[in-house]
Amino acid sequence: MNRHHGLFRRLLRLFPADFRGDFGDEMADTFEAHRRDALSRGGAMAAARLWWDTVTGILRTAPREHWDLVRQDARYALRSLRRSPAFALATTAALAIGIGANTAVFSIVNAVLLTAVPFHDPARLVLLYERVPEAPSPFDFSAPDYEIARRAARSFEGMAAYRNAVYELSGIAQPERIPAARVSPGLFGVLGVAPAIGRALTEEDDRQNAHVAVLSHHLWSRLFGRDPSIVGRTVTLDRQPYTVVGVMPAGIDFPERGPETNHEPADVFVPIAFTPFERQGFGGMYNNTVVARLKPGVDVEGARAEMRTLARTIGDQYPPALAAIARELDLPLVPLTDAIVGPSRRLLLVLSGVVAVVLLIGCADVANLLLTRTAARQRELAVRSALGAAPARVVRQLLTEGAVLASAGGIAGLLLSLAATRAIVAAAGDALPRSGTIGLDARVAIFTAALSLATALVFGVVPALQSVLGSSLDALREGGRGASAGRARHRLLGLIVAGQFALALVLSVGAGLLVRSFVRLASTSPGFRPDQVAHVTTTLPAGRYTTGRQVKSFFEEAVAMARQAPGVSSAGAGNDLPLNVLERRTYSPDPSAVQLPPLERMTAATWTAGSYFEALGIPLRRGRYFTDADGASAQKVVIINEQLALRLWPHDDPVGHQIKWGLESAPSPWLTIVGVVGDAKQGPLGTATIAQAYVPFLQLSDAAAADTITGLFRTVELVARSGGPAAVVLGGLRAGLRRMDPALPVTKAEALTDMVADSVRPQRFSMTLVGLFAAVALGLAALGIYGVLASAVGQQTREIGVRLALGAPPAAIVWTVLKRALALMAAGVAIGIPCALALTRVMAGLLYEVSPQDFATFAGSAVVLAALALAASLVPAWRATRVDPLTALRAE
Amino acid sequence: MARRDRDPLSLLPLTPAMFHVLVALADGESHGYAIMKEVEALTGGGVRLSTGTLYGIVKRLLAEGLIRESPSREGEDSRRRRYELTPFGREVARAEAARLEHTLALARRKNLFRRA
Repeated sequence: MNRHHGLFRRLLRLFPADFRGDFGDEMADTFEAHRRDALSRGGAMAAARLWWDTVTGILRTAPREHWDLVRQDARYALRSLRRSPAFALATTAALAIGIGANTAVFSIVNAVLLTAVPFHDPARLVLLYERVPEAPSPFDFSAPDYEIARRAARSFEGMAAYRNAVYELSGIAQPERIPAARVSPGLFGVLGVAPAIGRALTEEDDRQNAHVAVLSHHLWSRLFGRDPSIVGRTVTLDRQPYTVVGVMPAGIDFPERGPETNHEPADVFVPIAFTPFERQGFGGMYNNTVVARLKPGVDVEGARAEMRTLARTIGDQYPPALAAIARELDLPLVPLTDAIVGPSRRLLLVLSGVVAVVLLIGCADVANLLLTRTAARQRELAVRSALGAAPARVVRQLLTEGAVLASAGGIAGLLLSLAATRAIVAAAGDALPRSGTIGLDARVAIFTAALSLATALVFGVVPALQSVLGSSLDALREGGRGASAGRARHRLLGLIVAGQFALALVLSVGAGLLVRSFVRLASTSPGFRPDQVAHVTTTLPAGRYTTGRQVKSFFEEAVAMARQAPGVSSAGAGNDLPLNVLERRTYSPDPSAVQLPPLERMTAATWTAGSYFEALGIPLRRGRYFTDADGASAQKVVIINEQLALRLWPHDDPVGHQIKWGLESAPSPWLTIVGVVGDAKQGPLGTATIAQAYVPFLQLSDAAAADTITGLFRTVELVARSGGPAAVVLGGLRAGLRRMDPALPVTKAEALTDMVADSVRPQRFSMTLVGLFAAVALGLAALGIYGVLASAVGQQTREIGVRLALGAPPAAIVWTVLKRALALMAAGVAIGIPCALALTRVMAGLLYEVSPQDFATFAGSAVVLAALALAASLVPAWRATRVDPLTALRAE
Repeated sequence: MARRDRDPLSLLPLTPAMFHVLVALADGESHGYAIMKEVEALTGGGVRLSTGTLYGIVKRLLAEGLIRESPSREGEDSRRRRYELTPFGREVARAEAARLEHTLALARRKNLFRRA
């Protein structure tokens, strides 16, 4: 045999083994004859041409032969599955759940983590923040700092500022509050987004503080039916006319959710138009998020280096009184994508892991079912091998059956995932950024297809191995009851079930930790009593409430109205409520207090009207609450929380002492402390409580109350405590507000308990999701142990019959079955606990006051698992005691 | 496994290569290389089957019962299997030829050949 022959033989390997077996020798022979012929007639050229034809011919025909075989196997598999519908249904369901869960989570991961944000070259977009060392987190830019940065920074192509606002949109059927953004004119250019129709905001708009607006595509579709003639028309925002100049393109949500501030996708964009007061406002009003585009060739580190220098430049411009802050100023910078997806990355990674485990458990179920079925089919397979099917051919057949099952599971899973994705996105609410883009796309479809194929390999390979390892000849000889093969199979089955339990334990520990963490979080006292409190929010538009006097009257009248509402025992209003206090102020205490450096003298501040504390149930510790006597002309007073009291007068009664806003040199009036109240949380339940001061709304200066830059005092949070359910009072409050100003939309009307529940929504979301998946995983694991025990009992019918015939009590038989279940469970726990210990560490960031190694959770999960194993083994155990000795023996 | 109960028309149209292999076997049994040469000769070098293509076709024709392996002769190399048409295969080949003829006649009626 020559070189050519060897080469041709190697080419033949491209054909399926069967085909090669049938025709290989003959083909080699034919090729050789052909080659010799060609050589003698046409020489080397002809031989080379023959080679070319032969190689291309084989490359064309070999795939077709493989495909033929696959079709043949698939037909065979479908036929044999149709004969056992229960098996087909169980496997498809287990796979559909696993694949469906994975597809759903991947759809989210795909949209949130893997798909770029929809701006031009988003990798070059960064968010800039300001920071001083003592502050708990970076904060946004003040107008003067932004202006300096924009002029001086060399690392960026462009820089723009924006901040969220809320406007009342009227002149439409039903006035409503819509999320808005005040943006600097460069924003659209920096993002690389051009309006779909009309134009973007210009420098000229900004200079003139022009009343012009760009609408979001969403608002344009929802309220204006995508009418292109909207450009040039007027809409009414906060009772002032604005000319629509453009509409954003579809699919652009800006600001994106994810960053801590200014993260509400806006429906309308208006010029930010900083006022002269803002431009001079060094050291305050840090409320503008700054986005910038890196110049080509400048990386994030390079820009960071420049920002460190720039921080000095900005600090030098601060007035001398603020030198302490100015010296410490830093300008951190975060890639935009990180800011958007960073907060949800950990949860999504944990979820991906969780659903992967669910799928593995489902695969193990299917492998078990297949294994049991293969055992039953041992004879059929043995006959096939005896008839000359190569072992590889039998393995191929089993893998094809697996692929058929996986395809069915994959299709069902894809359908399941559509519903699951929708449910998850709905449950997430604002907890997920970019949720509008979550859905089925080509990448998700490819993922599901690949996953289905991979699962076919995972669970199909087990019975395939078994069929090769377990001697097929034995099976044929012993009439399919090979005792040794049976034992080997049961060892394998047992191993798989123990593995399932280990995986299920990992998941239930994970879920258990989240549940415990959530329970702890939800039982954290917010510092006020939300039961039986109704809460209504509205915002006073600048176009109608122009003076401070009008704003303050509204607060007064709203409280008076609420007090009159039926069922209300106490009512008050504030510019914000606990769990969402955003305002932070520097203060100075009188000399009797502990003297703190200026940077540590920062307090949360709320302005209240009426019986704010009584209505919220914030307890009084010393002194008194505000009364209606604390009016505009009365002595300026303040109430502080326990934290602030403890910091300033740790050994003394603070009542009667004084503090004022700003540094010592500030010209603001002294406020006399009249009371100390309990600490109410300023942020979500999981966050720490900080120092806080409360001031009567009516003692606010008219100028401050009328301010439209921050709109700080234009939000009215009305709270009313009643003797019954909050819902009863809500109607009265709504109607009362409507009487005061019929055009004023009510943004929120809810029981205060709902607001508290909302503040733990992200945590509830992760707990629910992981808990749900863990429950599914436990169910699938229980199915696995049930299947194995049922098959074992079936296998041992004869042995059980003999034992019963010999007088063994049923309890002993039950114990035999339970013993097996417990052994499997114990093995599962033994493997699972170290795995769980290793894996739950990832979850540390998702837990609140619960250690990832929490003993109670681990023990509890093991107990749940044991109970489940016992429950799953009851039916097989009961069935074992029902074995009729005579029938069992006669069956032989 | 000749399937006499089947309608020859159910297999039409055949691929040109399949048809040529059947035609090459019309005069009697032949082995692989001879079939290839015969096809090439019959078509004046127009159709040249590669080894892979030929045996793909042989496999399919065997499976459909259009050809079968001829009984091996005394002292012959067992690798040189020879194939012959089954009666069913002959029917199918005839039916395909008739189909082609009919198609040709249609083309002729349509003045396809007379146009300058």
